Amino acid sequence: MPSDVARSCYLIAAALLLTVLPLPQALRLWQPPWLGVALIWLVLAGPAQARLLIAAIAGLVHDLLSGAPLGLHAMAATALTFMATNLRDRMVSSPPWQRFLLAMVALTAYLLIVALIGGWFGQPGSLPGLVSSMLSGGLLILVAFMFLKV
Amino acid sequence: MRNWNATLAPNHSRRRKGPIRAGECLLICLACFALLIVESRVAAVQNLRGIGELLKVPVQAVVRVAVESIAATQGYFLDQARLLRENEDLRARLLNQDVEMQQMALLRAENEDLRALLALDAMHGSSNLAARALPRNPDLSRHRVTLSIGSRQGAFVGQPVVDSAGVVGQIARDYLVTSEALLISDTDHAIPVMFERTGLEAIAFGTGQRDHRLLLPYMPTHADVAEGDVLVSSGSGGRFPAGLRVGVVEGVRNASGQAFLEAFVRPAANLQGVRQVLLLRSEAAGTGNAVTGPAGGES
Repeated sequence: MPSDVARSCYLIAAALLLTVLPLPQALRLWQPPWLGVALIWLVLAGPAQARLLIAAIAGLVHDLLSGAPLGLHAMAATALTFMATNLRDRMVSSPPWQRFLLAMVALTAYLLIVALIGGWFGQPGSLPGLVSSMLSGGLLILVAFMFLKV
Repeated sequence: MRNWNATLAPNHSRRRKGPIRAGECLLICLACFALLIVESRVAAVQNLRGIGELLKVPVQAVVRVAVESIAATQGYFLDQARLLRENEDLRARLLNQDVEMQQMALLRAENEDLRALLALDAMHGSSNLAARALPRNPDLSRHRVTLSIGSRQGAFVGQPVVDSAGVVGQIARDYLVTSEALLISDTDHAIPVMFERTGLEAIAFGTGQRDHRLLLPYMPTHADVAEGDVLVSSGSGGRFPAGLRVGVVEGVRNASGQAFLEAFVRPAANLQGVRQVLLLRSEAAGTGNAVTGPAGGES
């Protein structure tokens, strides 16, 4: 539905805006992967079809805005959407803690792809940064699940 | 339209289409990987960054507005608190400066007194002794002042005491390091005076009144005495040097049935607030040994 696409775009735009929002030095390490969480949200609550192309374009814009190698976040976002879409039905029928773990698996894959492929193309991620992103992303997913009444 | 806040339910429509498009995902991932390689190898592709920078402009504008709004809101409250704190500090400093200003006014007055005393000292000889009145209870009925120098410094009984405005009194008791001055307004004190305008001589007695005024009793009724006449020491009796200002006539009274006039004199010296004084040691003041008591010296 066009309205679903529009909503997806708004959500992704908001996530990208939050990504480039300057944070204090102390909080910079704890910046959650806004785009990854937004894509999980979209898969769980959004349109029926997996919108891989939307995820790829969003990732590409993320790369442009954040100065990352072009295609890095696009690849990670596509992989995340693919995984989340495949796990969606299992998440719905699982208990909440398992649902959270499955979402975290998808998010971890996203972060690992960004860290590993980024490292390969000259933008290596750090382990503390990876862990803090996972923690803050997990917290954000919990909040998102509360909104989704999961 | 789908309700985004609805409880999740299995997506049967997607399930009907079979496995998720793994091929599509693989294709996109390969395209992204190719883009990564191309960007790292081909300089022309790196120009795409320019497009990205253009894309950033509106986003950065939105972010800047948001950040500035937050900063402005924070700044408003921080500034408010800082201004309040500064205001309190300034009030405290103003209070301190007010007190200092009061002290400055006192110091200025003292300075003027000292300058006047220096001029007086030059007039009457440099062997005079400067002294200051020691703190005392503000008992206006007591017409004596304790001074900061005594016989050790050269003060002696009967020594004239003056301030920058006129005659204050004379030393009544000399201790080792302090002395006690009898003010001219004390009932035990009398001083020979002369009217500056007419040259008429008289004796001014202390009244013991709280306003420190002096009395000129037994003036002939035909005497030319008027309010505002200035009295100076006549030098008679050898205690006070001639020409020292004593006071100003502020009232003349002719008591009914009496053959004499009475004149009331307002002392020239500030007897209510004696601070800095000069103890004269002129030849006219004598050595002090001739004086047996404050009252007996002149009266």
